[in-house]
Amino acid sequence: MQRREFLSALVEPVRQGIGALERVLAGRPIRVSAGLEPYVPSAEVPWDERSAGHLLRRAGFQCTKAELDWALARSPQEVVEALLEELPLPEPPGQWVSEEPRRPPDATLDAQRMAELQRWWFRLMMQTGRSLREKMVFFWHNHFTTDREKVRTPQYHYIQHTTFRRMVWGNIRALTRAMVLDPAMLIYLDNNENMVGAPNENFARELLELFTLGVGNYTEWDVVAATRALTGWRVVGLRSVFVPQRFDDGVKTFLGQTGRWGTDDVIRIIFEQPACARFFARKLYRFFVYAVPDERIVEQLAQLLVAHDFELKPVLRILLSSAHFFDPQFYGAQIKSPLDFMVGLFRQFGIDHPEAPGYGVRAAAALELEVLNPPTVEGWKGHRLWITSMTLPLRQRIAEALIEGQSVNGGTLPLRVDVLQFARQFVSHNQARQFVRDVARFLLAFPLSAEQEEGLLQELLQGAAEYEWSLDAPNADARLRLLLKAIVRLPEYQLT
Amino acid sequence: MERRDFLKQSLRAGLLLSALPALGRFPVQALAASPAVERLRRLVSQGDRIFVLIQLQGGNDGLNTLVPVENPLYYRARPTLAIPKAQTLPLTDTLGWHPALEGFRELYDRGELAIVQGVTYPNPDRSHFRGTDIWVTATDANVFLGTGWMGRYFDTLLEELPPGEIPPEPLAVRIGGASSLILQSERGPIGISFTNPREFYRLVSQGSSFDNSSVPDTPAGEELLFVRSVAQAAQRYAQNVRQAAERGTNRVAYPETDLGQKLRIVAQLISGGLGAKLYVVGIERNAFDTHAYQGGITGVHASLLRELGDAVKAFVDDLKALGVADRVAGMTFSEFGRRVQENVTAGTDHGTAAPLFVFGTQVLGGRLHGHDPDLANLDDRGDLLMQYDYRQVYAAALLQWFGAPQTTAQRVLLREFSPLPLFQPASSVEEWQSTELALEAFPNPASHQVIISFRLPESAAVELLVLDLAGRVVRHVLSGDYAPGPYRVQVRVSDLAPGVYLYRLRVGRRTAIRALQVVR
Repeated sequence: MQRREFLSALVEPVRQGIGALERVLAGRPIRVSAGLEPYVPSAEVPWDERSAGHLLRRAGFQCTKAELDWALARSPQEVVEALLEELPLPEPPGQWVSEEPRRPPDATLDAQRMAELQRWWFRLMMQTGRSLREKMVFFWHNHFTTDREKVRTPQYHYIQHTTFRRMVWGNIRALTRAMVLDPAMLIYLDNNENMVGAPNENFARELLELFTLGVGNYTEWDVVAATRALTGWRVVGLRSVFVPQRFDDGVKTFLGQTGRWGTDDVIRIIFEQPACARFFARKLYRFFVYAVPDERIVEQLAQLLVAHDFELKPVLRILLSSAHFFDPQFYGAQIKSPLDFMVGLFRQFGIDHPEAPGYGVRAAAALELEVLNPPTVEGWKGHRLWITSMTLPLRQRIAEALIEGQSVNGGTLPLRVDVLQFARQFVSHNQARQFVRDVARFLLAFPLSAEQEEGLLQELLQGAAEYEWSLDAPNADARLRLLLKAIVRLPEYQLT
Repeated sequence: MERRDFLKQSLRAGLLLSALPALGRFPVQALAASPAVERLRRLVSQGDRIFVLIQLQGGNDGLNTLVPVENPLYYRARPTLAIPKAQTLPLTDTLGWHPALEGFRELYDRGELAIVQGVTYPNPDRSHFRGTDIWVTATDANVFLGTGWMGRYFDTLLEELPPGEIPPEPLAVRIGGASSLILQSERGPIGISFTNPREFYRLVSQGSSFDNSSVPDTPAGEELLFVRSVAQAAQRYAQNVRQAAERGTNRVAYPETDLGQKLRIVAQLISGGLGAKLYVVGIERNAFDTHAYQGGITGVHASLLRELGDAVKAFVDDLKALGVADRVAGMTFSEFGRRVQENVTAGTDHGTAAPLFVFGTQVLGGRLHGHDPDLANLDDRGDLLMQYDYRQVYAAALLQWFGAPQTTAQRVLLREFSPLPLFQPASSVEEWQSTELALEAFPNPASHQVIISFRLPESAAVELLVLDLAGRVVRHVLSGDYAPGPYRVQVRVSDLAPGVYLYRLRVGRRTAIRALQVVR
């Protein structure tokens, strides 16, 4: 092959906002003809446990059997409406959230509170079943990142977190502005230190690159200008204040516009860029639909964001009730994040033990997602990167441990799936073959082959005849555990 | 691995089994014309050398790593961060090591570490993520690729392997951290990652289930194939990793740091004979992103440098004590250096060019490539200008270290880069004429034991190994310094599976290889 040909075969041209890694995170772009028009159940795409399960799994952290039955008793539109319902803010994890930070800080106390906050949020994820809210809070946590290693005061994490929940599907521009003033963010990306004559460009750069526009949509000089315009903010106690003496009120040229710009101007100008709406549209698409964005749909979502002045809720409503979202090609096309996996395990199997959140936080951290502690300012890149030769077997062992009630290290776990209660949720629980099929359909987003179903049936029967099976059969619970362990070991169980 | 699988692999790798029995009776060179033998020789010679990549995540501040102690511009730009000349460890008349880098200084003075100054690429990107992608995919700043440079190198080694098949040994191991784009090949991710070998084996050995049934041609089907491939690799390699960890050992104490412990595991696996050619480790979590309060002689950056220097020094010392040092080299890399001018928060913002370090006993060490950073001629952002393209270092690793042909290096790096002289070139497997060493094995074929004899024309460091066709060491027969004269060594083969093996004698820098057949 000629060198030139060889190069053109290997090298792809620059694409706006798409990193190299994104390309390998998923197999390939796909063609789905359905667009953002509303999904109408049909013979090809019926409203059944697969499609309803798809919606609940993507909008939440897997689902319970009761939630699936609840959804099936309603229309897709009614379910989406319910998922977007406004909910009251939860009780805070403790009175300490409004305590002024101690000087000097009490590191032990702060670490305890941080752990408490992690468990508190994990419990909310476990309990908020019929709502999109906690999944979206995670979206924002993974977008406007802050970690507990640099920001050690748990109060700041709580404040940022509460802003996410309060503005969860409100106006994205307003949320972005709130993040400029957010104490955790001011500390995390050093904007607290950024002042006239002494710029620190950490925040301005990430604001443009990771939070709003993406690489290629601004220049180094825009970073310089935004850095100057974003000066003046200081964290004082639990709040941030604007200190005019620290503000650089000189003239700046930012993204082609010249003036004595400050924070509000920076936000305004950023959100005037077409790249901004596309940036959020692409990220939402990848979060809810598939790792390789369909650029046609991304463009439409971007236009919708602009048309709704960056109000998120109406756009989420359209996306989650669209024919595109419900295309069966996407069922099971995402890889579970450690939160999908851990919160999902608890929810699918009905574990609601007081120790579950603590266990879940630690297990998710072992699977490389510790809440409130993203690895870098880019957050968790996710998808295929979740699955390695270490984390995959670890996931299998954790799931088995919960089913067996024995820890990965061999000790007894206080958490254990009540398999009989789990099985009774299925009307088919005494008809072995149908029961296995129903359980697999509930637990897996990916359809199994006839051979796989047969294999699972044998796990349950262990050589007994089909008609001998019932929940009253001797050792029924042990057989159920074998069946469930065989299901969670399947590679299919990693998909959602 | 099951033997049957292995034979299947070998067959698919183009090693024509029908031709193999004949090998036993002839020196390998006698069959040099055969493409199968050529490939076999390539596999074995490439199985020899190991490369270690140490990623310094966050962008290491080069100016405070190698301090330009005579440059007033440095002291002017770094009023709070500058390292006073008296505090540095001497390197040249105009450069001093950061005081925390005693480990590197010692390696350098021993000739086991080389320095390349001013490494970056044209139009450097100041984003962590884009910058890292560029370094690991080995592309120009405006080119986006989904495969890593080492992944592409492995592609060239695995050309014969059908898609979906994986090699019998993990070619690459990442210790700790998520999988990296470096290891992405056209075939998908190469190798495995884990934090602790025993833990890895324990997790995997408790069971997994995957089948090879067909999947629908949908995105979900494609993701399922991906998860299955990871399950398959974990399953297949867990045993190799455990054996290597059990056989392997460490001979020196490592610092109790994250990097120290990762490198300790790497040395353990190498000494245990794991077949991986590449290990990837790092100091992660953007630790080097010192925008605020990075410290000077002490502080955050100093402790990161200490972690780096002490860990690498312990690693090289250990490799020497283990007798494997000549097979291992490594390099550091970081997505960018940092700005010359410190910022007001006693930190530094994202910059461009910075030094990198290449280490190992077979490195052309004690050498410094490039001139001191030129602080009078900066780019329009106040950052250092490029002296070397990072791909000149990669080219050296491919050409000199791995002995890859120029066409391969060009394919991996997408065009030609002139390599810096950094490594002792890979030794050729053919240099010893068959008569010079009188190397032979008797009986051959053998079923119980075999006597390998050879004659040393001069005193030399000698190593005799028996390898399988995947290049894996199945017998470490001897190693050490030997006087001239004839030698006879008895080697038990009764527990080796029947098949063709190679015995390889290394004398000094040269190597001779013969085939050995085990029958029952």
